[in-house]
Amino acid sequence: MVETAIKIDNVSFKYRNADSFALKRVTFEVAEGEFILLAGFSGSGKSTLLKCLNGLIPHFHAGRFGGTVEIFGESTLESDTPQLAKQVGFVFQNPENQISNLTVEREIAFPLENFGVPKNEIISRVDELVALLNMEEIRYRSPYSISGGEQQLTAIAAALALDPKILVLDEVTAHLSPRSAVHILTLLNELNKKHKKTIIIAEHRLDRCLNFADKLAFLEKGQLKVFGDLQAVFQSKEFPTNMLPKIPSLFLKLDKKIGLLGDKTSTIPLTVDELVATLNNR
Amino acid sequence: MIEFENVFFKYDPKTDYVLNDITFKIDKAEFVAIVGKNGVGKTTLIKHFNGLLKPNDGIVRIDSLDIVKEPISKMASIIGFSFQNPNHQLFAQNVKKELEFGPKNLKIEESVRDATIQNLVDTFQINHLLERSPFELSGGERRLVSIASVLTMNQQILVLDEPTYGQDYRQKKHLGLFLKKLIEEGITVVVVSHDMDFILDFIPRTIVLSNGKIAADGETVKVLSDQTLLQNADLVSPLLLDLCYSLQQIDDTFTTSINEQEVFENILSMLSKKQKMSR
Ligand SMILES: Nc1ncnc2c1ncn2[C@@H]1O[C@H](COP(=O)(O)OP(=O)(O)OP(=O)(O)O)[C@@H](O)[C@H]1O
Ligand SMILES: Nc1ncnc2c1ncn2[C@@H]1O[C@H](COP(=O)(O)OP(=O)(O)OP(=O)(O)O)[C@@H](O)[C@H]1O
Ligand SMILES: [Mg+2]
Ligand SMILES: [Mg+2]
Repeated sequence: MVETAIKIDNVSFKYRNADSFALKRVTFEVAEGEFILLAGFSGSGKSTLLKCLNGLIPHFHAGRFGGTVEIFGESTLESDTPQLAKQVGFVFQNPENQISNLTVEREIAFPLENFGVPKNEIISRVDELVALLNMEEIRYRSPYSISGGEQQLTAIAAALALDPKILVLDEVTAHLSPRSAVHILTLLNELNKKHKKTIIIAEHRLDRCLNFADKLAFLEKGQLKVFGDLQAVFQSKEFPTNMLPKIPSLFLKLDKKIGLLGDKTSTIPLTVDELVATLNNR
Repeated sequence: MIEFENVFFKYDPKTDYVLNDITFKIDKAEFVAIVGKNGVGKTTLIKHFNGLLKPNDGIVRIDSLDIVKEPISKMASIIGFSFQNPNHQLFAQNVKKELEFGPKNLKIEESVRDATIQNLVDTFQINHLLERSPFELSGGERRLVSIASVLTMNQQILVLDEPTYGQDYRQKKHLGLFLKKLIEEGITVVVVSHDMDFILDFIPRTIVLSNGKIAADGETVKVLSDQTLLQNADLVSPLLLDLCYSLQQIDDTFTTSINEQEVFENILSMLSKKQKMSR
């Protein structure tokens, strides 16, 4: 049986100075090995929800918290944050906020040092990550004087350092060039498929994530409006048509005009290849 | 007007040039995108516009002023600059004060200031954020406020580093349309971005940086359709073009387009043609 990796039960949160709740009674579960996309307009509560997964909320952000979040069966209220950090690798929306060391290499090694990993293991792990993310050129540089995208890669490498079972990434491709973004997403897909990592990412640009993700959670004004597999979400009335990624959007428009669904196919194509194949088979 | 003449720049004498003989010209009221892979030197390039960085060799002229000879304060009244990281820019106690800071500093008349700010607040729909601290906003909200706070000053040239990251499609559309209007009013806008869809939708001219050089400079549609060029510059083509090229593989008469509606119609006619043939 597949284990439940994340269990979010009736979670609400209001920031100290806010007038309204940023999260309102959110409930859903993520099984180990699932790849979840978190979508929603700016300000809908995506980052707030993600911060509940590594205990930043409620441990560090002042505010009113209700409900429970469990990581592999343990409530975040009971486990301490270092323990959570080992299980949940986290990349913040703004990579610069995560930087605190003098070189990129130290930045990646930092979580390992914190957990007292032996020196030689640290070195080989850093070697591995630098190669994996093509960071050779910036390895010995200061993380403060590298480009925006390079900082983002550094933050991703640091999040992978402890080989956590769960990866939480907030707008992780925002500063990446389209090709680096594809590289990172492909890498996440591999970690997910080959190494059974549970992955949850917040993204505005859904287009190039669709062939990797199992499910999509859509937040609106702090409420979870739809949660389910991509097919179900894109056919749901709760999901705004304007937010549909390009390929499904185009397909559904075609379907409306000339009826494609239910004819030879009952699934919405998600990628260029799938759409072309569907049209070709008609 | 912005003019680069054989500009060379490196951060560290021991390394290669980040900008290696860059020459280009941007006219008044042009809307230009600068693209290129991570670390190629986009931010470095635009920091030369207002003298934040100075060329090791070559000349940068803004409105015929040589930036090396002008104080940064002078450039600030001509160029509005939005940094890649909004945290470098925000500092006021609330969003309203943040928006008022720039125009106050430039001693812009109060009525003009208030009208400009009101217009921005309406366009970007950020009324509900005015009393909030800029540090207690969501990522996208913060980015939007940091851009708005640059647009308050009515400068002749605007330089925006990655303005659309973290923005949802509504915010992007508001921003794109707003910038287009500024162009019509004679403002020059330069945008650094990885967001090929935004560029395709709104920005007519694109400059591609690669290996310290300008690899291409021209009409956006042409530049972003050139797959060899994109490949060499380590970029990828926009999804809609990918789709068109793939459709051409199954029907070589399929016409490519970057306009969603046109692609939609082209697919319809492709399908109806196919249906007739199979009858
Ligand atoms: N520290 C804070 N104090 C008070 N309110 C906050 C704070 N951080 C965020 N908020 C508010 O909480 C709501 C949810 O913010 P959150 O950052 O979770 O949104 P988001 O979906 O991640 O948005 P984006 O796509 O712009 O990153 C927003 O209305 C935001 O203004
Ligand atoms: N302050 C600095 N000191 C030394 N090197 C720097 C500094 N800032 C940037 N660099 C280096 O110069 C090169 C160009 O950086 P720049 O920030 O211009 O890239 P960019 O094209 O804006 O990248 P991105 O898309 O990731 O933001 C990179 O190799 C970067 O590491
Ligand atoms: Mg966010
Ligand atoms: Mg940059």
